[in-house]
Amino acid sequence: MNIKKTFHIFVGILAGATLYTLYSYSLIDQQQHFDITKNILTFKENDLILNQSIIQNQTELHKNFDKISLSQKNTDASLARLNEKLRPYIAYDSTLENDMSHLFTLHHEKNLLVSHYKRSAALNKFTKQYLPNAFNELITSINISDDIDTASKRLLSIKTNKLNIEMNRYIAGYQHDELKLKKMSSTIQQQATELFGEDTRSIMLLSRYIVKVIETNHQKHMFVEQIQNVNINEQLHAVQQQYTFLFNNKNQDAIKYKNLLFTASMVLLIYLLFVFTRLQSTSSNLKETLTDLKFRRMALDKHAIVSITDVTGNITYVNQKFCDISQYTQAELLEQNHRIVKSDYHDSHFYKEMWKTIASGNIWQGEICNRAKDGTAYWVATTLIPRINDKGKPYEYIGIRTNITEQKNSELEIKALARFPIENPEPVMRIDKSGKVIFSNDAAKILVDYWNIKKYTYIPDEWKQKINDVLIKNKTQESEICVGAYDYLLTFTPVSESNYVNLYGRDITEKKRAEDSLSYQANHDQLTGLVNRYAFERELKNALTSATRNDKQHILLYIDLDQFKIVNDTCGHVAGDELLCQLSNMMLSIFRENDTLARLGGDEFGVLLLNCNLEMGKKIAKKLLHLVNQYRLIWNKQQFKIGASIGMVEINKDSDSIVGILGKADIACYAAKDAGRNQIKIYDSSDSDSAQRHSELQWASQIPKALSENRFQLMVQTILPLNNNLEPHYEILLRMLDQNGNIISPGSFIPAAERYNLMSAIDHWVVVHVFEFLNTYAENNNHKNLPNLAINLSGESMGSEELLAYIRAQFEIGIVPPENICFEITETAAISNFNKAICFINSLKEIGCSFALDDFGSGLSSFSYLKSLPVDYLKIDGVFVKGMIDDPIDAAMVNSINEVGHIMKIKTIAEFVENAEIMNALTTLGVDYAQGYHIDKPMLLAEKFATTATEKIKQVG
Amino acid sequence: IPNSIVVNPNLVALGEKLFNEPRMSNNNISCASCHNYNLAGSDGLKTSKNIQGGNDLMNTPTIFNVGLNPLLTWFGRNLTLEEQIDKVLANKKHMDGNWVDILNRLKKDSSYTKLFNQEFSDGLTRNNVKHAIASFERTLITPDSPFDNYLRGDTKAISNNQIEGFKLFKLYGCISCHQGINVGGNLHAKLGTFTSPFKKDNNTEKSRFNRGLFNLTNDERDLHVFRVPSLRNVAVTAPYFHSGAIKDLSKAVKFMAKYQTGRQISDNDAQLIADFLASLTGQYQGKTIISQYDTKGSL
Repeated sequence: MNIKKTFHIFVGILAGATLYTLYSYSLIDQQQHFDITKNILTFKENDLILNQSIIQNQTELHKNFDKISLSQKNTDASLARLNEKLRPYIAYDSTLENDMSHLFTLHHEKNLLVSHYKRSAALNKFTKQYLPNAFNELITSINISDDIDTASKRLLSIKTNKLNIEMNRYIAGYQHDELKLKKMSSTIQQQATELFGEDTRSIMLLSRYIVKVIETNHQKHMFVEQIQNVNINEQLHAVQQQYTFLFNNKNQDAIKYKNLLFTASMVLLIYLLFVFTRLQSTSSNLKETLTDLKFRRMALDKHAIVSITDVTGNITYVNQKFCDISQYTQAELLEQNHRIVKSDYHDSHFYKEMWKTIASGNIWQGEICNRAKDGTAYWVATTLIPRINDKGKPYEYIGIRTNITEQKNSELEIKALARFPIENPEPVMRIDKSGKVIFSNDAAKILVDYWNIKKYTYIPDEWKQKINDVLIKNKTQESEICVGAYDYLLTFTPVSESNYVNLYGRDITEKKRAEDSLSYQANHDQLTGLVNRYAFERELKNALTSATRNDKQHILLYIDLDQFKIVNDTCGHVAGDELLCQLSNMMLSIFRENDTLARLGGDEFGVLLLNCNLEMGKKIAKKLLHLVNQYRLIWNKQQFKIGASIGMVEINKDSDSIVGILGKADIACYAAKDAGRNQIKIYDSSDSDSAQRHSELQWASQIPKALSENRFQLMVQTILPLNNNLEPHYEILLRMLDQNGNIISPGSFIPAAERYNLMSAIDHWVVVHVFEFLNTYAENNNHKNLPNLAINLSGESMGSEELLAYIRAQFEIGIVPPENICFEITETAAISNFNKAICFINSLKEIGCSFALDDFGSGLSSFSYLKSLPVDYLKIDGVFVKGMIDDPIDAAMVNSINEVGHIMKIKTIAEFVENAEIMNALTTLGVDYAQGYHIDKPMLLAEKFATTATEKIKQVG
Repeated sequence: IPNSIVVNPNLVALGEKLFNEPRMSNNNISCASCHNYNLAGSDGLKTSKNIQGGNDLMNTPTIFNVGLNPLLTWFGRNLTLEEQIDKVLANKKHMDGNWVDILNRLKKDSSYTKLFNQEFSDGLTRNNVKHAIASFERTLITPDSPFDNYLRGDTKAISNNQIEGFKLFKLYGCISCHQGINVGGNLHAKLGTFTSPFKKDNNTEKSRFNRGLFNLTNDERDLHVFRVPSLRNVAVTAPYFHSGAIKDLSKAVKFMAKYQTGRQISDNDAQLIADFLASLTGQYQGKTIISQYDTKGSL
């Protein structure tokens, strides 16, 4: 670029110089020509004047030499001037140079001659002037001389006078015979010398003067002649001619140069036109480029935050994006230093480095945190580009930035997030496919140390396999590992796409211990440390499975201690407990490792003999019986001997269920008891009928059957309001029919149902049938006068989602209004499942159902529980009601319960109202409802509401 | 002689400054060191001091009326004043300067560059320096001498003795050479028209000077030829002749008469002529020129 520029300048100068040269050559300096011509003439004139003045001097028109001298000076000067003027011509023309130098020679020659002329003329003049005096002096000296005769004097005088005359004629130009004059002079001198002797000064002087006059006269004329002969004029003419010739040549050249100038100008003009055209196209290209650049700049401005600063950081340009992000206007930023957006995020070293980089002409890139006008910080990825001048120094900086605040924030967030695994107090590791540890946090140190590995080394082989397994199955797996005193749960999470496994450890030491102890507690009897009924049933289930599937044979022993009640009754529980413990330990010693001894309750024990036939079982049972018989409890210096009734049953592929097996063993045990105690009985199906009646187990097995056969009946008993403003309620009661249709009271089957977890099934049956009844009743009675029914629910039912869902679904049908249904729950049931009970109550109360707390006063009877149970009715336990007439404490209980209930805005119901006296007392106390045989005996629901409820009440009343 | 000449006063002032400028030589002497124009335009010495401080062998001619002299120096060079300045400056015995050094020295003085730039389009140059000095020298004229006034018609301007002297001046032919506006200075003459005052030429430096114009032309006719000096201010510019050999003006007159006219003149005539010559003493800037040379009763 620079070379091109230099070239253009050079060409421009060349063109200019050429044009100027041509122009100057084409010019004819008329002034110069005029001067030269004038000088030639002046010189000619001065020379003429010189000649003239010489002639004038010669003819003594001028007495001094001033004019000659002046003329000489003038010719000198005019010749010098002429030479000066002609110098440009002389420089290149040798002819003129020679002519001029010849002219100078002639001039010099002439000057010399003039000089000599002046000398001669001066002498001539002076001698001439004095000549008459000299004659006079001579004549005077002749006349005054006494020594000589008069004749001689006269002769000399005459001669002298004659010479005087001749001299005058000579001086006047009439006499030219110089020889004659000299001769006359020498004659006079000779004669005078003869007359006066040698020392006559006057004659000497005269003759000398005469000689001088003649000599100088001669010289004078000679010089004048020579001066005339110096042909300056002719030489000047030659100079003039040569000059004219040169001038004409120059004139012609000038015309040529003029033509050349014209041509050159035309060429230049054409070139300029060409350049102009090219410039036009360049400018259109430039325009295009400019548009392009503008577009690019617009694109840059749209994308990036752009600013330009000078070397000191003063802003000279900012784009809109810069304004947007910094919140300043353009006017606020221009002329300001870039520091205006500086934040305190970076230290001075950071900026120092940045400036160092750009000041040395390098591009700087980095991320800067800046501060906007409102003080908020923003991050920009910045590129600073210095613009360099010709000297290689930066003179401005262009900053291009993109807003990375969000990225930066998320980066920081990610960084913080990335610390999660590191900061995790539990071990976190990442292991690749090959079993190499890629990452492990501080907490993982315990594992790393345990495995004796480091980062980037391999975990032990057994765990490598685990890693492989996890990756192949692509499923999270868990393993427990015991590291010293600690237990860890290791969760292996495969990240199959990255081919590594994340390992999360969890310290489960505490949990493990708690779990161990819990499972121990759950599975063992607290007193004896033996397996409890729950665990035993599980074992039994396993045994049953193995028997049915693998055709194995096992034996179950059911042991009931005889005479245990005596120990308990006579020595108390502590003794009984002690007995149980000691006996348990003893019994354990005789069983095989795989056998299980369990305490099933009270003084009942169970033994499971795995892989054992009847014979073997008999043997062991006998051994056991013997052991118990041998045992003596020493208590308070008393000895107690006990016995045991053992029922034995075989578990084989034909065994039906655990319940069945247990029932059979129980029956066998009863049979042994019946047979006179301290015996072993093997179950025999023929024995079963006799024992059936006595066993809860019987009921338990009957209930599911009765449910499926609908051998239950819904009864109802009126709850009569003692206050006339209230409506009567009816409590639903249940009774079971046996296979023969005999009525079985709840007191018989309910405990069995509770023991065998059948209550929720019974409750479900009741609820379903109550709703069925109500739905039918509502249909038959045109949806009017639906009775208010109270349904008993067990604690088990309150945890049943299914039941709740069913009840809600029934209400949603819309036939039975929730207001008509009250649920009765016992205090014990509510509290043992407190949270679930609260949930259950709330969710139904929400709809509109009401709740009654049953048997209040007999159980835990805690008013504080009452406070947190949102019930609507309190049913005062019938025990207090029954005795309230005779027992003032019972009366007080009834009264206080009633009062508390009322204070809590709960309605009270008294049970077991068996006579009018009680009813009157209750009315007096202000109890809201009464229920009992005095008011109404339970009757079948269907029958009760065959007629209207109101009629019934009237009948009672 | 003109009472005044038309000059450029600024240029003359610059010339005068240069005339008194010691930096024109390389040894701290100026033109005015020898040509003291506050007095008679000369140094009053028999022969000039040369630059080394020794004695030169020629008398310093007065600078007054030099502009009216067609011929310069004792040898009567046909030169312009400018040319003569060149010669004096270059002369090893006189100023011993060279132009490069002189111009460098002057250029260091901003007052010169300023003045030259005012007067000349091309500023401080060799020619302009010479031109300025010459211009000043041309103003060194001494008009209004008693004789000038006498010639203009003031018959009382000069004494009777002086009138008598003038007559003798003419009678003896002195006027043949000492003529014109400057009473001489415009021609050459051989010293010793009839008999030579010079002893045998022994080729000493002094003898060589006595050869006069011969030194320049090598022409036999120019042996002992000198310029006829101007007689203006002659009474105050003793001592006389090229060698400064004669201090007394009347003696100089007698010397002239003896060798130039070939005649003994009486002391009385010589004194009268000398009296007349005193009437040629003019005025510079309105003041009569006075001699710096202390000769008893010479005037």
